[in-house]
Amino acid sequence: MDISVMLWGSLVRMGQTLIAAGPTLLVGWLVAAIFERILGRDGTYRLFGGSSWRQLPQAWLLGMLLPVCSLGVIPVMIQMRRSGISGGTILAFGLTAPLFNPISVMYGLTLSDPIAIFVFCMGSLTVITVMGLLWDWLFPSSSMTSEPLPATPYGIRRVGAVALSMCQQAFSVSTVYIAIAVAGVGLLSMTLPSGCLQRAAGQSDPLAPVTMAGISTLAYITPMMAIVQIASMFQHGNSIAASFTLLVLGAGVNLGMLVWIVRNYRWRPTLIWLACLVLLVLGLSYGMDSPLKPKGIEEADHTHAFDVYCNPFSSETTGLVQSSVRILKESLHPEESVALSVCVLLLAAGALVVWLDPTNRCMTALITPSTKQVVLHEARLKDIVLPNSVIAVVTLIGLVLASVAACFLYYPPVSEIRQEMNAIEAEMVGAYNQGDWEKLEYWIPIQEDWSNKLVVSAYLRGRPLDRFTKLKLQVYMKKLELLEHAAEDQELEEAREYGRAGATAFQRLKKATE
Amino acid sequence: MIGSLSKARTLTRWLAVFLCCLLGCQPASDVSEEEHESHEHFPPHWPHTIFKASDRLNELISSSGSASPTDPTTPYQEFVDLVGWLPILAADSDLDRATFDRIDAACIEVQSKWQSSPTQDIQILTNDPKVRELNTWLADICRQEQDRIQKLFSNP
Repeated sequence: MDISVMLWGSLVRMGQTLIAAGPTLLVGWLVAAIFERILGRDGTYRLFGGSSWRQLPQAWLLGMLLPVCSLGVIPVMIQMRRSGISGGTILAFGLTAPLFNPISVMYGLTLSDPIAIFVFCMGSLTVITVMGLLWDWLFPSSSMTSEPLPATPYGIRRVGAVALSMCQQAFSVSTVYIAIAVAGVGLLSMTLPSGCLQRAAGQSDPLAPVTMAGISTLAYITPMMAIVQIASMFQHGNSIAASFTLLVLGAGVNLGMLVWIVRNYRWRPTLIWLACLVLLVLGLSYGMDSPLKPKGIEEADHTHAFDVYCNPFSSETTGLVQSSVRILKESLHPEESVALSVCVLLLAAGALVVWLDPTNRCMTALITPSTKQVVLHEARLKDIVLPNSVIAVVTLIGLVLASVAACFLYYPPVSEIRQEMNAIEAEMVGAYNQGDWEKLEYWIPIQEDWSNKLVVSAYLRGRPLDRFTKLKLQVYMKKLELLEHAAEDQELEEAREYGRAGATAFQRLKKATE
Repeated sequence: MIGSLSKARTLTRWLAVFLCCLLGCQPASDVSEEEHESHEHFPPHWPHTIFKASDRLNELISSSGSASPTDPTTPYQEFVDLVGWLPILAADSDLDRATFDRIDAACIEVQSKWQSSPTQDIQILTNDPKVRELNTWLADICRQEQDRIQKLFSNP
C-alpha cells in the first residue's frame, strides 16, 4: 500500500471515530463530573455496591443504562478507580457500558432474531461476571485507597462545579487514553488494505472468530454500530461466533482502555485478564455458533460490514485529500457536529483552566460554601436543599429518560420516514440511469439506514410492522443491496435493472405502510 | 507467592475443563464443503418470481421435474426450499395482502407439519393433500395475476 494511502486512510478513520464518539464522550465527561462533584468518592463507592456482593450486578445495571461507548467510559472508569472501587467491578462496568444501552438493545431486537439478541446479552453478561469475579479473585488488593473530596455546596455553585469538572475531565489524562484508542483505529486501518475483510466472517470459516478477535481489540465501535453490524451479519448468514466476538471485543475493548489498565494495574494482571477474556469470548462464540445459526438464510459470499475497519482508499484512488474531506463531511450528521463542537469547546476551556488556574483556585472557590449567603438565600426563598445523592440519581435517571426521548427523535414517525425514503428513491433513479456511482454509493447506505429505522419506528410507536410489510421491506432491501453491488462494479445495465426492480419494490412497500 | 501459584493452577484447570466442555459441544459431523458452497446472491434454484416458483412446484409434484444438471440440489431440497420461499416471492409481487396472508399461512402450516414428522422422501411431501391443495390454488392465483398483468400491458 502506498504511504499516502495509508496515511490519509488512517486519518479518515480516526476522524470518523471522533465524529461517532462525540455524543458519548460528552456523556462520559458529564457522568465523570457528576461522580466527582455531586456524588463524591464515597457516594460513587456506595453506588457501585461498596464491598458487597452487589458490586457486579450494579456495575452491569449502570453500565447498561448509561449511553457511553468504549471511549466515553474511560473518564468514568478513572473516577471509579479514584473512588476506591475494586478492579473487577471497574472492568465489568467498562466492558458492559459500551456493549449495550436501551436504544441499541431495542434496535437489535427489531433487526435480528430476539432469541439471538437475548442469548448475546446473556453471553456478554456471563463474560463480564466471570471476568469481574476472576479479577477480584486473582488480584484482591487491586483497589486504590480513596481520598475523600470536600462536599460541593448546593445551588448555582454545584452547577458551576460540575461544568468546571467537565472541562477538567475533557483536558485530563483520560483524553490521552482516548487519543491512544483513536490512534489504535488509525493503526488498524493502516495495516488493513481496503475491503480485505469482506470474506473474513464466512459462516463456514472456522477461523472467523479468531480473525475477528484480532481485529476488534483495536477497532472502535459504538453500541449502535455493533448492533447494526451484528444484525447485518445475521441477515447475510455470516459466522455467529464472529458476531459475538465482534460485539464483546469490538464494542467493549480498545487500545486506550488496555493502556489504562496496564498503567493502573501493571502488565502481568492486564495480560492475564486479556488472555482470559479472549479465551472466554472465543469459547462462548464457538459454543453458540451452531445453535444460533439462522435457518433458511443463504450465506452471502462477502460482506461490507467490516469495510469501516479497513483503509477506505486503495492504491488506485486519486484525489486523496478531496476524497478524505468528502468522506468526513458525509459522516458528519447534525447531532454529531453539535456534540463534536461542544467536545472541542470543553477541551479548549479545560486547557485554558489548566493554563490560567494551575492551583485550581476556581474549583476551591466554587466548593467552599459561603454560609452567610446560604442562610440569606434559604430565608428569602424558602428553598429546598436537595441532597447530593438525590441530584445524582435524578441526573442519572434523566440521562436514561433523555436517551428514550432521543429514541423518538432518532426514529421519526413512519409517515415521515416514508417521505424521506421517497425523496431518496427519486435521487437514486437519476443516479442509476446516468451511472452516477458516487451519488449512488452516497444514497444507498442512507436509504438502508432509513429502511432499518422504519422497523424500529413502527415498533416504538406500538404498531410493529406486520409480516406482509416486513417481507416487502426485506425485498426492497435485497434490491438495494443488489444495486449497491452493481454500483461498486460500475455495471450500468445491471444497476438500471436492479434500480428499476428496487423502485417497484419501494412502491409496494410504500403502499403496504400506508 | 504460594497462594498466587495455587490460584494460577486452579485457573489453568478451570480453563482446561471449560475448553473440554466446549469441544464436547461441537456438532458430531462437519457439514460438507458442497453443502456450504456460497453463491453470489441467490442459490441456483432460486425461481426469481412466484409464477416460476408455482410452475416448478407443479413440475415437482407431477413428478416430471428433475434436478438441473448444473445444480447439485436434490429435488427434495428444491421442493422444501420453494415452499419456504413462497412468502418472500409473494411479497415481491403485486399480490394483495389477503392473498399474501393465505399463501403465508399455508406455507407455515405445511412447514410445521414437516417439522413435526420429518421425512427425506419427496413422494411423501408431494402426496400430502395440503401441499396439493396449496399447489392448485397457487397456480390459479398466479394465472389470474398473469392475466391481469397481460391485460394491463395490452390496454395501457
